[in-house]
Amino acid sequence: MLKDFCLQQWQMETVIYHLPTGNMYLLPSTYADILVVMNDAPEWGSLIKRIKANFQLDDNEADLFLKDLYAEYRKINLVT
Amino acid sequence: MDESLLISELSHDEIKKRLILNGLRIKMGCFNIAINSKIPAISKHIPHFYGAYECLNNESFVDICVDLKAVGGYRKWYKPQVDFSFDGYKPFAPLPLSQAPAMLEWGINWCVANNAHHFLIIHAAIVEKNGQGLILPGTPGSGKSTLCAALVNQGWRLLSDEMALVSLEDGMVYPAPRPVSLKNQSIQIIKDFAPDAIFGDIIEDTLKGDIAHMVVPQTAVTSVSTPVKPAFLVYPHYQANSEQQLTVQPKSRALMTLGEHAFNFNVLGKEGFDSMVRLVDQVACYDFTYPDLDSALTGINSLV
Repeated sequence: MLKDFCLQQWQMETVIYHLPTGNMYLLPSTYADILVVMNDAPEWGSLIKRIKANFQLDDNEADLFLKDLYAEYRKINLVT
Repeated sequence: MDESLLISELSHDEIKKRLILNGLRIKMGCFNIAINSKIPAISKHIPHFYGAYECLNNESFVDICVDLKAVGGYRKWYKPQVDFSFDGYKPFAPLPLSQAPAMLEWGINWCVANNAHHFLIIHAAIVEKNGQGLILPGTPGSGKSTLCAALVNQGWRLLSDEMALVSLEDGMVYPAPRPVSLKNQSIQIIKDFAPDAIFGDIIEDTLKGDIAHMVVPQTAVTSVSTPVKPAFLVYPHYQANSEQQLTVQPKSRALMTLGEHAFNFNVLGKEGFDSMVRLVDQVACYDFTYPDLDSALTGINSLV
C-alpha cells in the first residue's frame, strides 16, 4: 500500500489524501487505480496495458497519455 | 459528591468575586472553562447566558483559562478597549470595550478550535432530533446559524452553533452548547420567528456587523453529557429567490467539502482523514439550497 497516501473510494470517484502535503484530491477511480500502480510498481509496459484497457487508446496514444499523467502528478507531488 | 451548583445560584457579587479572584469556572459541555475578568459587561453576560450551566469549584481542573482585561493607559478614557488572552497568549488585536461579551464567545471558540485535537472539529452547527444528529457546515452567509437557531426553537436539541466535535474514538458528536450567535438581519428574523427566545443586547459594529446572542434552551444544557450519533450532513446555501432544493451529495464530494470545513484535520493527519471518512460513510449527505427560513425548515424537517 502507498505509504504517503490515504485513499477512499466510493464507486466512480476516489478521494486521495496526500500525507506529506496535507492536500486532498478528487479523482475518477480509474485514475486513482493508475496512480496506485505508478507508485507501487511503476513498470511502463504494465501501465500502458492498463491505460489501453481503461481508455481504449492505441499504443502511441497510451504512451503520450501516460507521459502527460506523470507530468501532472509530479506537479502536485503525487509521484516522484 | 457535592450537589452541583448552577451559575444562576450564585449572587451577582459572588460571580464578580470569582471572576476577579480565581476565575469563574464553568462546565460548558465537555470543556471546563475558567473566565477571569473585571469588566462589568462580562459579569452581566455570564449569568444571563450561562445561568443554567454548572459552576465548578475553585479547585476543579480547567481545560481552557481565558482572561479579558480592559486595555490600560490613556485608552481607558479615550476609546476604551478589551484584550483577550488564553494562558497569557493574545490571539487577537484588542476590540472596543463594548464588544467584550462577543470577544469572550469568539475567544472561547478560538481556544476550542485550536486545542481540542482529541476531536475532529468541523466548522458547523450541530443539532439533534430523535437521536439523529444533523451537521450543518457553513461558510459565512450560508445561513447556518440562522437555520440552527430556528431549528432549536422548533424543538431540536442544540449541541453547538459553531463547531461539531466528532470524537476520534467513537465517531459520536459531543455537545458543547453555548449562546447562538446571530448577525445583522438574522437577529430580527429569529426574534420574529421565536418571540419567546431570550436574547442579549445587540452588540453593534463588530467585525461581523451587528451581533446578538440567543440563550441556549434549558434542555440543551441539561443533556450536555449525552453525545449524538451523526445521521445527516447537510451543506446549506441561502439563495434569495431560488427554489428549495435538497439533493443527495455523492460521498466523495461530501468528503472533499468536509475537508474545507474541518478546522484541524491536517493537524490530525491520517487520523483526521480517517475520522472524516468514517463520518461521511455513516451519514446521508445533502446539498441544500433554500430561499427563506420557512422552506429551509420544511426541507430539514422532512429528513427526520
